[in-house]
Amino acid sequence: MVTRKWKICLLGAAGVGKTSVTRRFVRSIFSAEYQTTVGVTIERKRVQRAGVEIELVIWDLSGEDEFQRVQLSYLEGASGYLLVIDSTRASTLGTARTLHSAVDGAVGRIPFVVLLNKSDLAESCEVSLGLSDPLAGRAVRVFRTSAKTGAGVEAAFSALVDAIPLEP
Amino acid sequence: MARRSATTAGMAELRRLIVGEEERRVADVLPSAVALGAKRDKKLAFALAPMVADTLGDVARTQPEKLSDALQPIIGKAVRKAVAAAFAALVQRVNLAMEQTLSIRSIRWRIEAARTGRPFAEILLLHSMVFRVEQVFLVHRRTGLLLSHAAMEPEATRDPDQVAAMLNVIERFVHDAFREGATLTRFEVGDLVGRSEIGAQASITAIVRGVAPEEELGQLLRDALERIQLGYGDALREFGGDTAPFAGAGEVLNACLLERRRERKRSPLLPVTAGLLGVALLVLVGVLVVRARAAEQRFRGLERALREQPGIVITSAERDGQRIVIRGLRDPLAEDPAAILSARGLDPSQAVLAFEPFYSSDRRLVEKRVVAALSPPRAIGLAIDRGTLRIAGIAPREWVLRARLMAGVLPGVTAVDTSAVREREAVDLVADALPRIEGTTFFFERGSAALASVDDARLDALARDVLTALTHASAAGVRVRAAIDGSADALGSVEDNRRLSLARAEALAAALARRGVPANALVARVEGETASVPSRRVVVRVLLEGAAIESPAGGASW
Repeated sequence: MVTRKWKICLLGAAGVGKTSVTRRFVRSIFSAEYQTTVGVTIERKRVQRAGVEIELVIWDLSGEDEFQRVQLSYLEGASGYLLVIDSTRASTLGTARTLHSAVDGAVGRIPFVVLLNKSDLAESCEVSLGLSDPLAGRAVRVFRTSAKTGAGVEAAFSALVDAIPLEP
Repeated sequence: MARRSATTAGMAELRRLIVGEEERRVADVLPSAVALGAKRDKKLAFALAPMVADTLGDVARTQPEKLSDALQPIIGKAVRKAVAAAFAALVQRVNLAMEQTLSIRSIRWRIEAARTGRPFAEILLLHSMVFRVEQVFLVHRRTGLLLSHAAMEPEATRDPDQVAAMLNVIERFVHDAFREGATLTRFEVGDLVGRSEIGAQASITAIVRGVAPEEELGQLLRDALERIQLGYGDALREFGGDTAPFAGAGEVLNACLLERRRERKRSPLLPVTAGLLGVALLVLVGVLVVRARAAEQRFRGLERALREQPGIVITSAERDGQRIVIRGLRDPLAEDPAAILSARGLDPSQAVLAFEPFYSSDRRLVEKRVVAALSPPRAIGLAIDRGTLRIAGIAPREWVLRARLMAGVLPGVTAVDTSAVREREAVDLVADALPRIEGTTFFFERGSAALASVDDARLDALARDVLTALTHASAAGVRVRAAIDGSADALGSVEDNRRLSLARAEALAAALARRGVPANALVARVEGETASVPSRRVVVRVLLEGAAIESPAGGASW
């Protein structure tokens, strides 16, 4: 019995592997092409927390780059979000910070987790996030993830779900 | 205790003084206010509906008799109406099915069903439908989350949560991309139309197949949204992911799942056309059946005729469409099967006739074979009796000898009986001799039984002829004897004359015997005394037994 439905957003710079990360775990009836047309595609994942069935409706927003800005109105009503960073590209950390403050401004402080993706390419790792980093400090947790192996993704979703209050 | 009761009474008095007047005024305006509200829109009705439902529920629970008394007069009517509606629907379905059975359009739809892999009933439904509201989504605007969903065929719908979110995305996209306040209220995808009503907190979107009247559909959705906003206003505002409070909204959405069928225009010509078509079809089928049956009968008749034919044995007779295939055995002397086919109006070129040759022991075929082999002369009769060939009649000696040899080796002939055959040559010799013998007369001196010596040459000739007849009688199929009738003149006693007559006859018999004629072929007789016959003489008469010699037997007597 589903008793909760939450809107979760997936944010990050272009090419950080958001879609690859989520498609390992979610089910979508829409083609990823929607991202290039309307800037978002919808995915769905069902999770459980302390006996409560929770339906996550995941809005996978197109990656932010110099040509395309994330449409902030898409963030409205989100219960939490995943902020994805490409650990091999330092510039994506900057984008993440920008996005984070944009979300703060648009929908206020809501729980989020940070995913340092492509952690399987450890030798070319450019990004590390210390606890002293304000982004890491604000996040529920920082996860090293790999779209290739799927490592860390489930845990990241789980941590985010745990951080969202059951009663608003 | 007393003090509390006094306080209660005091409070009631105080209440009466403060709000009593107000209550009266409200009571005065309430009926007209309710009437006005009901006239303006349905908000009041929506607001009152849950209360009315609760009250009815309470009455049903606590005073069932009262409720049943109230319902009794309408229950019968309601049941009748429901049954009538069910029957009407059934009749309509049957009518529809009947109507679609013959039409070209229905054939097109059947092809469409086969092409798309969808059941024919569904294609029929889609085409005979004006519109059908297939799905209704109630979406929370701020989060894009699906609050409630209703579908005609829930099992056929794809992930409504994702669809709802995508609808919300598109709505936001339109809003952001064009201008503030722009809303997406209508979109088309193939033969589907999406129609939305957007409220402050929630939007309701119907997915419609076909063309729904805009006015009607808009009103339907507006009413539904209004009802939901009225019933769930607070829950919508405070929504944080808990969809449980919206469980009742499904009923409102279900009410939007409308379906409108096309009024079937009944062409007045349709029954006539269908009737004519039916008759034509029947006639066609009839003709085909009659033709098929006639062909079958012709074929069976042919098979029967062939089987009855002597010298033909059928081992298999089949019909392969128009082609006839008959196999078997055929005596070379039997009728030609192709000719039998032609005689029965069948085309031999359309038939395969495969016959192996054989000799039939059928009597008719054996007779044919014998006739073909022996070429009997006209005066010969042939008969087969249990394998024995009996030959009768007159034939040249040479033919008889040949027939005796040949007939024995013909298939179907086990023995030959020629006992009734007379040789032409013998018959001719006998026939030639007998007239010369018959009536030969010798005269005597009075009282003498001695033959005159002048008669010696005639005696020799007579003896030669009798011998010839006797020699060939057997081959000619007769038994010949010569009767010698002696006579005397009227002088003398009767007894003397008898003795003399016999003596004269015996004298000729002795003379012939001396010339080699066997005695047993000669009969000496007394002719007696008659005035009509010349006296003192003997007359030779031929005694012939067996077939007539003068006129040979006619043709073969099969």
